[in-house]
Amino acid sequence: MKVLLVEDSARLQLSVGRALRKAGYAVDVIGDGEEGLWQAESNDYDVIVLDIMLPKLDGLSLLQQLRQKGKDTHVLLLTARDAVEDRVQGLRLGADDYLVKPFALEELLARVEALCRRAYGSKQTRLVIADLEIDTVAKEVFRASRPVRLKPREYLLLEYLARRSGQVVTRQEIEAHLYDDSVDPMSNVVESAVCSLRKKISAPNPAQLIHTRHGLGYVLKVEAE
Amino acid sequence: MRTIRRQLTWKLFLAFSLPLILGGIAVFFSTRAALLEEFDTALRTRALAIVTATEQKGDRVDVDVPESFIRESDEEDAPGFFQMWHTDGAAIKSSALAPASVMPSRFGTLNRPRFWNSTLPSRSAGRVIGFKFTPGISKKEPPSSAPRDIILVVASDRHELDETLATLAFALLGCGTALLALTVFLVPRLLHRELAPLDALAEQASHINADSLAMRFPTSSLPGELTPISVRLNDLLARLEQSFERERRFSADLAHELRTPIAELRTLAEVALKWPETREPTTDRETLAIAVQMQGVVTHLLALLRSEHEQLPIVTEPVRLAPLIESVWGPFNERAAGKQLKFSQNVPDRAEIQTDPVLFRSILTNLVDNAVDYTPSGGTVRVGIETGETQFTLQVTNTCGDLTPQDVSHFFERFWRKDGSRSNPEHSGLGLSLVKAFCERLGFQLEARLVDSSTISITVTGPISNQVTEAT
Repeated sequence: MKVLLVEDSARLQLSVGRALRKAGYAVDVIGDGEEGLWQAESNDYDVIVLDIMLPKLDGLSLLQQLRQKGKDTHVLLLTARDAVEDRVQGLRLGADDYLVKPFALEELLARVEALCRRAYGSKQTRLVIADLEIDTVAKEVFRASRPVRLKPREYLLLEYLARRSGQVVTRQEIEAHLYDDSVDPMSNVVESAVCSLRKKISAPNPAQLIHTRHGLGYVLKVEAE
Repeated sequence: MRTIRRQLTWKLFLAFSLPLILGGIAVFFSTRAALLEEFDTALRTRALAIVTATEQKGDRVDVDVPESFIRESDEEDAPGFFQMWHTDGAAIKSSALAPASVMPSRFGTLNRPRFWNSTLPSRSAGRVIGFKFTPGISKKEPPSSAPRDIILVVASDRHELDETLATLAFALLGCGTALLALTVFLVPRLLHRELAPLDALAEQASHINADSLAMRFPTSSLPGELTPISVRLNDLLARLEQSFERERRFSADLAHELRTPIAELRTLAEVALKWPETREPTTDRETLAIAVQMQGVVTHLLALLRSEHEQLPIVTEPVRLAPLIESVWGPFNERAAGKQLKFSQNVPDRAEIQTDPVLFRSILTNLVDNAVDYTPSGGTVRVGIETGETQFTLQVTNTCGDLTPQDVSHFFERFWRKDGSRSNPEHSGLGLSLVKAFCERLGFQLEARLVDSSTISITVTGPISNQVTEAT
């Protein structure tokens, strides 16, 4: 999952960005509203964490312009303003959630996760494909009822493929949702991650669930014999 | 409850009733006097007719009253009478219906007869004329001696006169009462109708609360008397709206100034606790910086509050200005050099003022701090002090970016910052409001103005008079 953090406080950029990355998200961090709007329009983020008081373009104007341009990325407003009218204004302009500073980090991560689930039209916290089970809250994976140990990025890749189970997911989509701007687009990180994931989830049961569609991408599903 | 309607009705009632009662009384009594005069004139005419018919014939008095006169007087429906006496009380003549009364003790003369009211023998009210006269002397039988004076009393029934006066009094009382009743009935209703716009204003005012301060009362459709009230109310609402907006902005800014560093502190700590391996050496430095930033905000706020509540003690002593400015500028020198700022000062070497050195230094430090931070790279900062006979002027002038006169009007508001995002953690927007508070505490005037589109000047003017001395 890919998150855009638009926040002008350098310290919050650092700590919230780090927390989101440690939680397994690909994170782009932007410090002003104009750049934030450009990034939000140009990329396909799952969630935008947006401060309201921003230099150059405030968060509410950014949100308004984003919605006017048809972008329906889920937005979590993060702000020091706690008045009811501020919340109402933010939600009316198209925000999906509102978190007042100071906040508990766990709450921020839980809200981002909930918005990510909504991004894929699901309220389920447990994804099941054949004998593969993914607990999206505990971030745990089971294959044939046996736990599978995955690295954060591998887990995110599996969850992303599972949420789009049965659909072909392109390499570019995986890059866009799982990797931030620091990843070289010419590298083969996606292929490596898919390869590593295949090995780990086929250990308890050799039946392959992740299939390659040459020239197209990858699909997670149970293939008929 | 005292209402305008009730007050106006009551006062109009009094205002109408008083002239009405006085007018009614005046009309009644003037009419009564006129009717009575007319009645008395008729009575006197009859009495004079009797005088004319009275002659002294020899030793006796002959009263040749016309038969018709006596008949008229004796009629039962006009029960008047006349009586004559000599001055010693001896009766001379009287009409048939005259009472057996004694001669009156007081009476007038022929030219100035006396009139009085009396009850006639028929028990009805009557009017009486009485006077003394000397009868004429008969030429045929002249008396042997001078004729004796005669007292004549003539009475007439005044029943018709009293009835006329009673009718007049009833008519006046009836008209007056009807008019006053009409006043009491109509005035409240007319007032209710005419004061309806006032009720509408009250109704509108009752709906005003903190969320509807943008609402304004109508001014064009109101009666002329209410327009000034509506205009004043609108002015009041505008001031209230500005005040609420300022308070809202202050609350939001204060929330930002305190909530943001707390959020930074909390997330730094939570990330360090949750993922200890990610902890970096800079974390402690950042934590300290946040604490210092919050300490600055709290210290400034406390100083502001103490100054506004006059809890800051003032201890005045001579302050030499040139060394003070050197000392204040020192810590900013490095920062100014980093931005290639040009600094100049124009302060008389030996000038000094009598003031509180701590507060004055704080004023100067905040102004210089502000100038150094907000002057664009390569710009100029000038500090000048002039001393006159009674006043000193401190002026801090610096190059500025895109300030507008509107921005300058907010300069001394608490937490105001040109940058609405409040991104720079080095400033909280309290420095200039602190300058303002300290200046007020010391009795100085403070003014900020745009010299031109790229130069801002802040001027502090204060009294020196006897407190200013030239160092020897």
